[in-house]
Amino acid sequence: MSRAAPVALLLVALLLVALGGCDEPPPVAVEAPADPGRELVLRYECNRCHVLDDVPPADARADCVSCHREIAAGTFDAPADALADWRPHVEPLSHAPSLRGVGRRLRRSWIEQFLLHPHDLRPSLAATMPRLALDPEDAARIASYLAPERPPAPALDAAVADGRALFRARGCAGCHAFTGSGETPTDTPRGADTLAPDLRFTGDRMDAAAVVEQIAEPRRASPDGSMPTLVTDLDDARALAAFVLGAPLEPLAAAAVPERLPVLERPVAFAEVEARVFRRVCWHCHSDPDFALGDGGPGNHGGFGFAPRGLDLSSYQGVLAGGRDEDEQPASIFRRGPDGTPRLVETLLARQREERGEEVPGVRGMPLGLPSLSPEDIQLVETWIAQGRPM
Amino acid sequence: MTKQWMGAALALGVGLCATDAAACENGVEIRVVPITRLVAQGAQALAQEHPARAVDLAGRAIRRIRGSRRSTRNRLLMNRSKRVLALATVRLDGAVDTERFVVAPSLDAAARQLALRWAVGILEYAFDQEHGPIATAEYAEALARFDSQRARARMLLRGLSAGDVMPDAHGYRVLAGLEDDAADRERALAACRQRAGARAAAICAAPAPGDG
Repeated sequence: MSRAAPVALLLVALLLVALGGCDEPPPVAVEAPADPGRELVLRYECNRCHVLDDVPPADARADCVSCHREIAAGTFDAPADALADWRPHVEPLSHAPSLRGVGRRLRRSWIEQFLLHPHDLRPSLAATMPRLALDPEDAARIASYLAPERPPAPALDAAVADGRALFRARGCAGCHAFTGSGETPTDTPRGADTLAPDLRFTGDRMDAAAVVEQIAEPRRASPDGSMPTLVTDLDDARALAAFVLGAPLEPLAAAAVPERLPVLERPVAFAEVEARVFRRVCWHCHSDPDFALGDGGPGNHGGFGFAPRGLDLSSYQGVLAGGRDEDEQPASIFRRGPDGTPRLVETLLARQREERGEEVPGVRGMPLGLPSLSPEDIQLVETWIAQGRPM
Repeated sequence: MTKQWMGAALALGVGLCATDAAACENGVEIRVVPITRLVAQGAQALAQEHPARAVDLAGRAIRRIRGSRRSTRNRLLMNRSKRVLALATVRLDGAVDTERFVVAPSLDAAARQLALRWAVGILEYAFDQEHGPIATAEYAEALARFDSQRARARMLLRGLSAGDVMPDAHGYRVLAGLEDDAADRERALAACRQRAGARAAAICAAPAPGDG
């Protein structure tokens, strides 16, 4: 330090005293009480899939959707051959709707119910909102945080028939399914936008004013959305909204649950089940923490609001060792349910029912929020279990 | 401070603050990080009944980790490598040089006992950390090698069997060797054969009573 330094320090100290800076502690900023809904958004880790207005994104390692998107785009830091191998598998969870501005768009009551009873809203998106371990109170708080109460929107005075004509003229069905309205030849849209919702549910999700804004000013309503501005005339937007909200809808035909296939006659060893089921799907959330920087994933160390269950499905030993129950006791994933079905199979079958709008009490469908396993894959798992779970 | 020194300090700071590369879960880590892959291969070799190969892979991993910087990843992988090495040592009847991490068939009985005691220590540490079924079964398998610990090993393995969380055929094979009652022994052997599948003949050869 030069000889000038002590002089400089002394001058700074004198200046602070002169300004009174050392007489009293600096004022402490009074923090607003934490919003319980925001706390819950963080606890349930909504930011692992969704972008939110005032919630920071999840840590890079925990941000499922961003990570998958990077893999799909080839920008993830991994060898090219690995990216090529992974790319086909990340698609189901490469997109999730942004929740920025969600309060302008969606009804609070609908958000609350959707959190408790999620269903398939977006036909082109393989993943759905997962069925979390939320109780009604938590769901209400999250909905309240995301969507402030709004005054009731006035009814639209536009003609449904005019809106239907505009719907066809503007090619809305190019992105949107509108199941039961007679506007889409199938229940699957032609796929311009993975996140485009089935308009059948619009009346439940949005009020008239929000629908009009979504059509007339999509960027304002959905800052991160990809919906184009297809009408500039407000009367046209109202007419389209009237159609979307008022079109007569055929009742939904209940899709049949796939038939449960009998166990196979041929021998099934773990390697086959591992390749077709455990390593293809399960081990991403039920990992071995030693090989994942200490984090065994939400299905092992906890996450998405779930308590740690200690279930590692990345190896034969891990699968057979099972997890922990609510009392922290070891729990086999092969324990039998009331009808003798092993727990693992119960969860796989439950997912098939969840996809059809049914919830099985006490059983959470797996894979969580992802497409159910095929009947053939479930058959393989059942066969392996029935044969004594050979290695 | 000159620009060069500032640059050097910045580089040092970046180096000190560097975290593990962003990577999620087993699929990415094992594929992208060579040392993780090496340890995982060692664990897999052991699971596939190749304990000598497991010793080789785990030993190589330990040597590489010792030459690397400290990190969460390396600490976890070091512990796992030692577990693999310890269980392989048990399955090789103590014929492992636990200083050089190589298979040593020529070790005498006393040296093998020392190796087995080292293995018990490693697996006991893992058991104390988490008490999960895998750590429990591995620890019990090592304990069963010592007459004074057979009752404890049997108690641990019976617990896993009762809860249907025995992690593999070896646990049942060891339990069969610890059971005094012929019916209990046969039950454990039957479970061993079921789990071992095509490898039943190699893993589940009927043990003599008291042959843990």
